[in-house]
Amino acid sequence: MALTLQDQVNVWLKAEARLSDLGASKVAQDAFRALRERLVSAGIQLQYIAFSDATAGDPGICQNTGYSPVGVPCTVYGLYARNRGTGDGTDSFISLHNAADNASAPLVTAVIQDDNDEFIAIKYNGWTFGTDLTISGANSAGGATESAAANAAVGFVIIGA
Amino acid sequence: MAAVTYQESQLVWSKVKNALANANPATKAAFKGLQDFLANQFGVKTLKLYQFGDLSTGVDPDFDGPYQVYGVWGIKQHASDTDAWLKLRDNSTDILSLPFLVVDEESFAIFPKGLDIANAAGFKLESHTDSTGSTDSTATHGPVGFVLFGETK
Repeated sequence: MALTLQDQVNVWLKAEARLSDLGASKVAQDAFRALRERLVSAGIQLQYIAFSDATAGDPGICQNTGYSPVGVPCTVYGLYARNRGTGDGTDSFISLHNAADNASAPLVTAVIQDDNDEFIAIKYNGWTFGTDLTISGANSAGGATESAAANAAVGFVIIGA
Repeated sequence: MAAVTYQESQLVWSKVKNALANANPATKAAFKGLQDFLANQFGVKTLKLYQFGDLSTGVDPDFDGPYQVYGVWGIKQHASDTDAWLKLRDNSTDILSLPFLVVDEESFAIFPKGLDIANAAGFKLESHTDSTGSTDSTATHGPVGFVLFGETK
């Protein structure tokens, strides 16, 4: 996948479908609806990027060195993550790295503690990833040792140029 | 440490509304969604709003746990573009790290089910100069904002 921006109607349809498929809480749906309203008024194109908890291959964030979906600088507006409810309660840290892999310090990190835990992070005018974007599920905060899939999260990010 | 002084959620949400008075509408709408969700899905009746300002030496809310964090909001109010990361730390582990890199930068994080704070005695709010380090930001570089706590379910 590269940076392939689309009109927002397509992006938000995918985001809403994903939130529904994952059984996202209403607060997650409300938060992204509010972000949508803000970004639609900004009149920019966006990209929806789904990620999984797979330990090998794209779009798995637990693969070696993480998942780098675009390969170019970008701006992240929102992150949704949810554990699928198959873990054992072992912490997994989802991070967004401003790099082509997960070896460097992350820009955003949060812990996923238990089964079905959700995490939402939104910045309405975007976090700038000036180098690249790598999404990683690791067993320590900002670490590069990937989590087991069952402990990590699935979800998506909304990005722009 | 003191026990957490929870308040009626209606009062807390009134304080949240005041704290977000100048926030982006997307932020306000998201926290309104959290309010509805916690009331209607989880029946949360009491909460604790902890507002923070200067995090240059870290802040320990100094109340007994266990408890949960439902939401965090921050804004970089000071006229500084020096990078700062707002961190929630549980026993020295960063359980949340959000960047505040430019003036007026505003962001939030929500944990709808609540983020368990297992080691309340070691819980701190800090602002650091990088995402993985432990060098404190100066007072004029870090964000101000709030953390919304609830009782462990």
